[in-house]
Amino acid sequence: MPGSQTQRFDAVMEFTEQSVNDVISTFFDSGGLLSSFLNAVGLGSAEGAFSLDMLFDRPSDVPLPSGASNLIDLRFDIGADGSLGQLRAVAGLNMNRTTSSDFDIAEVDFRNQLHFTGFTAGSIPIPLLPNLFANFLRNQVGAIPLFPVPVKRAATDPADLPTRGDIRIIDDISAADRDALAIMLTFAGGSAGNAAGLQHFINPGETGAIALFFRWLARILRPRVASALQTSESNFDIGDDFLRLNRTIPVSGGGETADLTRLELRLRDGFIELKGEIAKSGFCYDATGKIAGRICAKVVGGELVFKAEIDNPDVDIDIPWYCWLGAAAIGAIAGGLVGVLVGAVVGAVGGAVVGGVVGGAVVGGIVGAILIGILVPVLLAIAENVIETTVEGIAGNLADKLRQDLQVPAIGLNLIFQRVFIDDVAINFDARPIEKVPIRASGVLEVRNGQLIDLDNGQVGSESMGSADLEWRGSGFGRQLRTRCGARLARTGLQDLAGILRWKLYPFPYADATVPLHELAIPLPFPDLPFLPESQKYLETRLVYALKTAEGRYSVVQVSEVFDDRIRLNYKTYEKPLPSVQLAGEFACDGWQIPEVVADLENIRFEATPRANLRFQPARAAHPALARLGRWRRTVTRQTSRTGHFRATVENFSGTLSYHWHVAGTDLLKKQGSLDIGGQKATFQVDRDHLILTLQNQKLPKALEFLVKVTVNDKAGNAVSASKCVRFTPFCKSEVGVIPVFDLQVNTFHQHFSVVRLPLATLQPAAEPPEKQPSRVSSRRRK
Amino acid sequence: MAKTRSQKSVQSHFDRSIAQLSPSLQREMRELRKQEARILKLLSDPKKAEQYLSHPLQLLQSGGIEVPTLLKRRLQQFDPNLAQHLSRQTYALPNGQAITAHIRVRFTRGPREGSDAR
Repeated sequence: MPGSQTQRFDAVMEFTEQSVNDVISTFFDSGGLLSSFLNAVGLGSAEGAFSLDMLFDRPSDVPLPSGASNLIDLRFDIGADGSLGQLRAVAGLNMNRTTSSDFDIAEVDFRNQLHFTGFTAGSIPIPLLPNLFANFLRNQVGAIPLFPVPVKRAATDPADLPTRGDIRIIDDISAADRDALAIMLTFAGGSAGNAAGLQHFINPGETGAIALFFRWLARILRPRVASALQTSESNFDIGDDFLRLNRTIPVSGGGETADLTRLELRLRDGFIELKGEIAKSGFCYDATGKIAGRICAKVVGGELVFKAEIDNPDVDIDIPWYCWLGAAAIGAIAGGLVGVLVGAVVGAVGGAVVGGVVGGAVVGGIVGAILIGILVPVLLAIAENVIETTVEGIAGNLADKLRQDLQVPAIGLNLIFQRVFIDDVAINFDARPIEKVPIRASGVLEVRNGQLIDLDNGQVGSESMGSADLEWRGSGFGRQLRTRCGARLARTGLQDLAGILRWKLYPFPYADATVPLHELAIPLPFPDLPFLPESQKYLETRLVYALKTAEGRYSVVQVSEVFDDRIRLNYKTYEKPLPSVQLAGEFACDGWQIPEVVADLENIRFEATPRANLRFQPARAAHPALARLGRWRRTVTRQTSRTGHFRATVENFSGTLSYHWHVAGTDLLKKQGSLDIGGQKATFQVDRDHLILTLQNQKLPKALEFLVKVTVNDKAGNAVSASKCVRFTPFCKSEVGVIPVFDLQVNTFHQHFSVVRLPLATLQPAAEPPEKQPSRVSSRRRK
Repeated sequence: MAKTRSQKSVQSHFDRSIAQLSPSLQREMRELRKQEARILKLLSDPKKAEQYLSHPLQLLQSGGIEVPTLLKRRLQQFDPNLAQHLSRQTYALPNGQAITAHIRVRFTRGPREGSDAR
């Protein structure tokens, strides 16, 4: 049912319990926050190691204020194996609308909504620690910004930024216990839906999904479809599940013009139904053509792809009886003429047979030129260009904003689209938090048989190497990877090295270990075939192994390729929990792109899918219906924002910290002021770990390159610092999808593709005439 | 002698349709048109309309319509295969799909006299 997933909110993003668990774990690990608290309360032996189980279930075993809502229950096991105790906090989630005017920030609100803290060692409650933990969460952590929702309160276009974000924890009390966090978005012209009715709609195996209310999609599509058809927006009606033309409008393409009498998009279960009707009249005919189709969606290589599958069209033609008889009579007289016109019989009736009456010109066949020549390309354009460009733009914009925006403090998420389904339009994704922790060494190592590996320094060497963590020893199929010098290994069972976050490594059981070759790769059955490339003799399992190195650092390794004489190994070693600071920031391009309709093709590229990829099939073969025609692209050049945001993230540096910023040789001693950067005036604002620089030139600023440095001090006088070379370029370029008006799209469609009329021989044999008809020869004989 | 524009404008759709036929055939078409009511009744049956597409003479004769001599001769030479093009057409679309247009033809009286705007 339309709107059932979104409960009439314009769009809803949902995240599973596990994905929010990952974000919060990354937050506490990235800043070394929990580690600093544990050190302060005498639990330094944990070395910062913890694991977190977060629940959206409303706890029944702790006292809660009656109005407390949107609760999360955080349960930390302290130490690598959880043996040092259990910390617990119950807090409320909040949509913070005050920190920034440009963002509504979904956050865990410890300042105002921390309802419970606890600490137990084994099953024994420890009295003082809960209060210390509560103070730590309220005063030092304050809030965990989970998802920043970019907003533009005064937006008037429903495709612009949302006007408001809301939050809701879906606490499913049924046996299925399908809990989720929902972020509800309202766009211009929309209104808030029924938050209490929201349910979990994420597919099993995925960590999040975006659902779009069809009515909102229709609000966005209406002006774009109307513009593309070069008609008024008021000629279309919208509803919860449809967008449809409410009057007849002219439509043209390929040198033909006809009347578009019906155009309708309607939400169905799993697809969008598309219906089009077209009409054309000639001297001796009135014809109408109807086509229906389905717009389906899928994710291919992380990109959203919308495809139209067109049904067989129906054509109704009215012909005055005498026109046909005249055609038959003249065809008999001038058989050659009729022969020429075979490909356009309807046109022959309308234009040629009765001939000179309409100027003798052969109008194109109605079916070929009008229905196939205009209506089909228009329907394909709606599906593959308008809807795809719009939905891709919306989903892409949301994903970009969640990736990282330094204007507000947030973890940052990479959304990797996995699957899309239509009912409402929902896109499943894999949400991966972006961790900001210091990496000691990472890369690819090539290790010959018998060599040793030092993961702390990324070195490969011989037995003489002092501090090896692993050894690749043995020969042939008896080779094995073995820990050395006190390094310990754990099997993660995972295969996605990029998806590993440091805190995920803490709970594994580490031990001296040997990994045999057959666990790393399977030798293929005929390895000695001379034509087989060396790299194809083994099928690698790509399993990821976690290590604690001989020097005490966490590391991950993955054998990516196995050869007869060596292996290739991807690795990443995290730095020890040492005090450090990382600096990130830039003058960014505004990433929110509204798909626009263009009336000319200047600077627009049609990137046609190569013919080979279209998998063209003859009529009788099963057609794949998966190929697509191509994409319309444009390179947009915009001015780079004159305001740059920079953030410093400290690691394992606790207590009361002070931040000192230094920009282009100038110490920023006040909270705000002005400075000179490369001969250009700029202003600055400093809010502890956040620096905002704004270039002040009235004219367009020139390109600049300068150094930003931050030094962080604690009360004891310890200091860490980081610097970053920042480049400002006045313009930035990005690739965006565009929607050309439909007659341009139809013309381009015919330039690139043309519709092929298949010969009659490929059709089913025609039915026998009802009565035996003498052949032309025999009828002559009878005369 | 060429007709004037005003003469042309008062011509009926029927007259303009047959203007390219020889005078004899035009006469015979007018003769046949006197049986228009019977012809249309016959063609109101979809099966018979389909037969009219490929075998117009046979259909008219089977319905008891008297077809004048010259017109009959011409229609005897009509190639019934040409009508196949009005029963279905198959197109290969560039996305690999093949679609077949199902075509239904309905025979009508033609525009009313005096209301022909074509």
